Amino acid sequence: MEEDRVEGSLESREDGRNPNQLRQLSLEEDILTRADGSAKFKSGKTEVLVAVHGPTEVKLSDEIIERATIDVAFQKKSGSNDYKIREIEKMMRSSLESIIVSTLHPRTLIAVVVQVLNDDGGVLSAAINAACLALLDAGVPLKSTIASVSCAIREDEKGNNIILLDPSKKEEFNSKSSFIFLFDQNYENGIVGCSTRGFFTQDQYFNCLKASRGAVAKIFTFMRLSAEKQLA
Amino acid sequence: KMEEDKGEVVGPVARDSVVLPGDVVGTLGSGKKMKLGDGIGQRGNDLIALKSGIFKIKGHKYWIDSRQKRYVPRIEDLVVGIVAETQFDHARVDIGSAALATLAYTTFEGFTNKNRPDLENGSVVYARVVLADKDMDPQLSCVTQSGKADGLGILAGGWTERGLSSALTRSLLLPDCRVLIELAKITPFEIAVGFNGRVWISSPSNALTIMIKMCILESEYI
Repeated sequence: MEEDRVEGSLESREDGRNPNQLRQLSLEEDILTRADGSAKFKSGKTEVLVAVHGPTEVKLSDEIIERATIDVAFQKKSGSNDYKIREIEKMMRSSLESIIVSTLHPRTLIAVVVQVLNDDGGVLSAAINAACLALLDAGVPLKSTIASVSCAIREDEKGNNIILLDPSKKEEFNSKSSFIFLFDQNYENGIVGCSTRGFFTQDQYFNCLKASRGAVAKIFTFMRLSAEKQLA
Repeated sequence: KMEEDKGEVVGPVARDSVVLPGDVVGTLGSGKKMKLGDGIGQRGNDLIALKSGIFKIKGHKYWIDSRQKRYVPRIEDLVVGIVAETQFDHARVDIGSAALATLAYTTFEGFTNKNRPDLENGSVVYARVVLADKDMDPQLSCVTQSGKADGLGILAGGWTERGLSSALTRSLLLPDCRVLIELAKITPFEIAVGFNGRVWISSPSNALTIMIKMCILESEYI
C-alpha cells in the first residue's frame, strides 16, 4: 500500500513552502462602517471580505418562529453567479447555522455577505474564516468559533501521493482531489463539516484530515491572538 | 468584598481575560450562586462564552464585555427612539432593534384623553424599555417607575446621531466621562444617551452640535 507522505517532499512547492505549511495569514476586523460586523481574511494572495448584518428585520416569507433565519450571499471576484455558487452558499449557511445560537433571536434575519477580493486557491476556507470573524465582530452569539483549512492531493511523476496543505489555485487545479475541512474549538474530537472533490481513498482522506487538524490549531491561535490584541 | 474577588479563577479562564465563543468560563453545580449576564451560555454543565470579549465577574454576576453595533433590547435600558408610525393609542418606534417597539401614549406623564403627547413620524423620544423578550416586539415607556417623566419623553430639536458601538455608549454613561466633562467647559449643551447606540445632542448652534458629535465619535479610540 502506498504511504502518503505528509512531511518533507523532495520537490518543494512553487512558492517554496513545505507540503504541510500554511501560507501567510492576515486578518482585519470592523472594516465596513455600515455593516454590523465585518472582517477580511487573507491567506497568501487569496483575500475574502465578509460583512454581517443582523439580527435585523426579516421578510415574512422567510421568518422562522423559533429562531433566526441565516442567509449567505457569495460573490465571486468576477463572473456571474452560477449553480456552483449556490452550493457554496448552501454549505456556508449550514456550517454557520450549526454554530450561531439562532434561538436567541427568533423572527430575525442574520445576513452574511461574502465578497471574494482575490482568488488564489482556498477561497471557501478563507470565506468561512472571514465569516466567523465577521460574526464575532458583529456580536452575534456563537456556540464556538470555527476555522477552515483546505488541502489537496497531488500525484508526482513517481506515482507518490503528496498532501499539500492550503493549496494555491494552480496546485488545486493540478491536484487529483481536494478537501476543505471545518473545525470548531473541539477540533481534536471531530469536524463541523467537509467538502471534497475528486478521487481518493479512505486512507488518503484520513491523512488529509490529520494534516488539516494540525494546521487549524494555528488558525485558532491566530484568531485568539488577534482578539487579545484588539480587546485588551 | 472586592478583595476576595481578586484573581478569582472560576473555570479554565481567568476573569478579565479575553475569551472567544466556545471557551469554558465556569461550571454549574458547584453550589455557588451565579447570575449569568450578556454573552454567557450553557452547554451541559459548562458555562461557555457566546461572544468574543472580556470575561467579567463582579460578585456573583458573570458576563462578557463586548463591543457591538447592533442593539438587542433589554429591560430597563434607556433608549433614543425615532417614531416610525403613529396609531390611535400608541406609536411604533424605531430603536434599532430587529422589530419596531411599541410606545403606549398612556405611558407619558400627565396623559389624559385631552392631553395627548404630540408625536408624529420622525419625532425623537427618550424612553425606557419595559418589555424585552426575544419572542415579542419590545415595549417602551416614557415615565420612570415612580410615574414621573424624569427626563424621558419627547426630545425637541437637536440632532440624533446613530451607529455608536455599545462600548462607546457605555463610556458616555460613566459619571466621569472625560469627553463630556471637557465639552461642558466649552459650551452648554443637552445630551441624551441611548443604550441603543444613539445620542441626541442639542446645543446653541448647529456648528457646536457638529463639533460635539465629532468629539464624541472620535473619543471611542482615544
